[in-house]
Amino acid sequence: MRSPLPDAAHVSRPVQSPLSAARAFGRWLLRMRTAIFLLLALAAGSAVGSLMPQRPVDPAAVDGWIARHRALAPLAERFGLFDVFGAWWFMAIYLLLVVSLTGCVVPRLRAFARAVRSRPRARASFDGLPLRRAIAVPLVAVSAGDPVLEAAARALRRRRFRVARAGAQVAAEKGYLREGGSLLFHSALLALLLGATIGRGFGFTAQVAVVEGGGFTDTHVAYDSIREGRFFGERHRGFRVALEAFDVRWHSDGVPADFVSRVRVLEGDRVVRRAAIRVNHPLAYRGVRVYQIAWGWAPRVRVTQRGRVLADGEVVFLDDRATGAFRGVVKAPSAAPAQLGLEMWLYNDLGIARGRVPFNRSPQARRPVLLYQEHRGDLRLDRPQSVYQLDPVGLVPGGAGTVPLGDTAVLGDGIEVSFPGLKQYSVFQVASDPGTPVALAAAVLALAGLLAALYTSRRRVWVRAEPGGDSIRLDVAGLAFQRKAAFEEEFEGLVRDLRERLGGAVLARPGDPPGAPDPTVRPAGVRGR
Amino acid sequence: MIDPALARLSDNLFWIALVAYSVAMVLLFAGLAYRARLAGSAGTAVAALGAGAHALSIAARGLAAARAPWGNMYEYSSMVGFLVVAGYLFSVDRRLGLREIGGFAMGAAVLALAAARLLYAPAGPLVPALGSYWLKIHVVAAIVGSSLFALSFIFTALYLFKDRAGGRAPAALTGSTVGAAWSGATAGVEEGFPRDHLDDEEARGAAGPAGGRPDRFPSAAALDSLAHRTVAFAFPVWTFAVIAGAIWAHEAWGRYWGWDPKETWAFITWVIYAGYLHARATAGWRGRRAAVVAAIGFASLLVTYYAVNLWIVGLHSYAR
Repeated sequence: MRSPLPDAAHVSRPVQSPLSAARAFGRWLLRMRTAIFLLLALAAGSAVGSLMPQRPVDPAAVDGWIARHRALAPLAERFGLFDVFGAWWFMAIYLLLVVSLTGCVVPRLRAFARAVRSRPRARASFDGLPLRRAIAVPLVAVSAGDPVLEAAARALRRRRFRVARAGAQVAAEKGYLREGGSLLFHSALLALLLGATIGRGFGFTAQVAVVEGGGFTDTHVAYDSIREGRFFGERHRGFRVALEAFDVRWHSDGVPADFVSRVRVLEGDRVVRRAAIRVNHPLAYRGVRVYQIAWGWAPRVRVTQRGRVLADGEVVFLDDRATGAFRGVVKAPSAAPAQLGLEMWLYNDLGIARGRVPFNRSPQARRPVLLYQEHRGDLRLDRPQSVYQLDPVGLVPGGAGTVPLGDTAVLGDGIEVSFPGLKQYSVFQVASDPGTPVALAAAVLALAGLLAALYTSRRRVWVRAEPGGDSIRLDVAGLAFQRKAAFEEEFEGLVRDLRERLGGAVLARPGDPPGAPDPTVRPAGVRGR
Repeated sequence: MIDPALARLSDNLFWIALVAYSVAMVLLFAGLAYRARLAGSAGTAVAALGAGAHALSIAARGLAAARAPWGNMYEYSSMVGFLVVAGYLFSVDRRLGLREIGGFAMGAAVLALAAARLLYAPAGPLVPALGSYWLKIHVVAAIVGSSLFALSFIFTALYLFKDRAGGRAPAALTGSTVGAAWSGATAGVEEGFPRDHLDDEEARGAAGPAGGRPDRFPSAAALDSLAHRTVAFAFPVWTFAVIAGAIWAHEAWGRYWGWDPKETWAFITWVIYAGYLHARATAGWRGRRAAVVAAIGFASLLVTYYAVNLWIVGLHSYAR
């Protein structure tokens, strides 16, 4: 963007008071060019956000990026490039845009309201208007100018112009929808931002993994991860969703056809709803929506030492991109003589490729086998840690082996690991967004406004009557602000219409005597640019 | 569930369409270069035949997989190529009579189909995430919008080429003369409304019969105006595609906007074209400066479609 100031202003700029600087900033902010500049800045910022790994989306990718770009990482961190959409500068652009857009829209709304209320204005002179025609109406047809003007006004009203009479002139205007649509579009964009802000401030988004037979309650602590709006205020509903069964249906070639979570919704002990939650078919209950977003395997792993149970239960295994298996860990702090951590991989249909590499032959559970790797030592459970990871610092790798479903493996020190059952788990996204209806309505209105603004055009017509010797001279002038070619045809049609109704002759040019060749027959008339 | 015979038929028809478009491109370019009317007519006929085969190919694919035939990148690119050809034949050739554009439109279609072929995926069922009626609404809108932007880019690119190749637009139409463009409509502008121009005389001037003019190629001003009008048509379609995508995201992923790379780039494309429309309507930008903005918008569209799906990991990665 070029500076609006001439160069000389930079050389000898007078000392500005803070107030006048603020005023200058305000003026800059309210210019449309600024709004577009801010919009483009928002686009550029979001481009960065799509190219850099983002911490809220994939923290591991961020760590990888930092490891690869040691020198740049602090700078990227400083400017919030790992969480662009939550960065202060992104928010700042967003807020400036809201202010700028408001500043653009409000004065235009006022002016538009004035324009809608006021009547089309008469013109002192038709000089300089791009389209002009004159019609001579013989006095045998009418006796005075007024019925002629009245006929012109009727013709314009039939064409849905707004018409105003002012003395010996008719002024008409059409196409208010253009500015109206544009204003609707821009106001709706503001409403859309408002809806998004309401949703962020008063809603929440959470994720939870639920093993078949289990469930979750809509409370803060029940979720694996949660983001609550600043004004959400812990208004969780407290109902319970119980997962009865989770099914994956497969096409014959191993492509999943559908994921279905069969759930019951409970208020206290009472079942209030049964539902099947599928991709694209969320459950909506009391303003909270529950979505099917992921799934995986949860093998039951039982670890005992000489009859004493060290760990027993279904363990959520995560999809391990590196091996194509599902990976999970079991922690047994009460094992003796040292604490035991098991790192495990589930192959639900184990095949062994050349080079003794295990792989999954199909995604179905046809021949489930657990591979395990022992780690002995200190699990360091006194520190915060993930349930999906072992802290390797205090641990020493031990033996490894396999346990097929329904079998038991014997480790050292009388420790046995058995794999008595295999279930699936379903991951739900649970969200409440009270801003959605606002945003949706705003989006629909924005689109309607956009269509009106792009496909309507604003045009004006003036008709003036002057008594002559034996005829009344009717001057017609037109101006289109957009779609000038289309208006030219409309204008010619109007003139033709008037001539036919009044029985007059069209003068070739304003000022030509009656009887000159009729230009509406071969329209090659005045064309103003 | 998959009908292999129909799937094979669809693939064969696709190749026929690709060959037909290539032949039509050569014929139409020959018609332009040698002012050979016959070559132009033959090229148009071959293009129409190719479009027929292409339509059948798309239909056969849908029948073979028993679903809407736009569920992966191959099918999407194929549809865009088809709509570019159909848009050219029905609108540019028949209504505007601008056969001189034909070779370039066919070239664009050949590129789209070549890209489709590189991204080929056999006919198959949809992944569950795509199993929604929003697939029909959102993806169709995105395809139509992309095709229109592609057509407008052809006009823009030709304008830039023509503008550079000596056929300079009149001073009032080049970017440096914002003031001149402003003065055009100041007569009669009064209170209330902002001034703006959406001229189409130039396009209409070019729409007349092509013969008789010394230079058969549309003027730079006509190309500029056509590009603008096509963007003005494409923009609401694209807006609708983004809104429909947001509604679908709300159904499928539990939020209507999450700055997923696809969402982000669709937004960037939207913003650039919105900037283009504003620059033309309110600031009175014409010619080269506006054309550069439009070209950047189209580059962003290509990123939105190809780069995001192929190289940036996000929720749309399945559509590969």
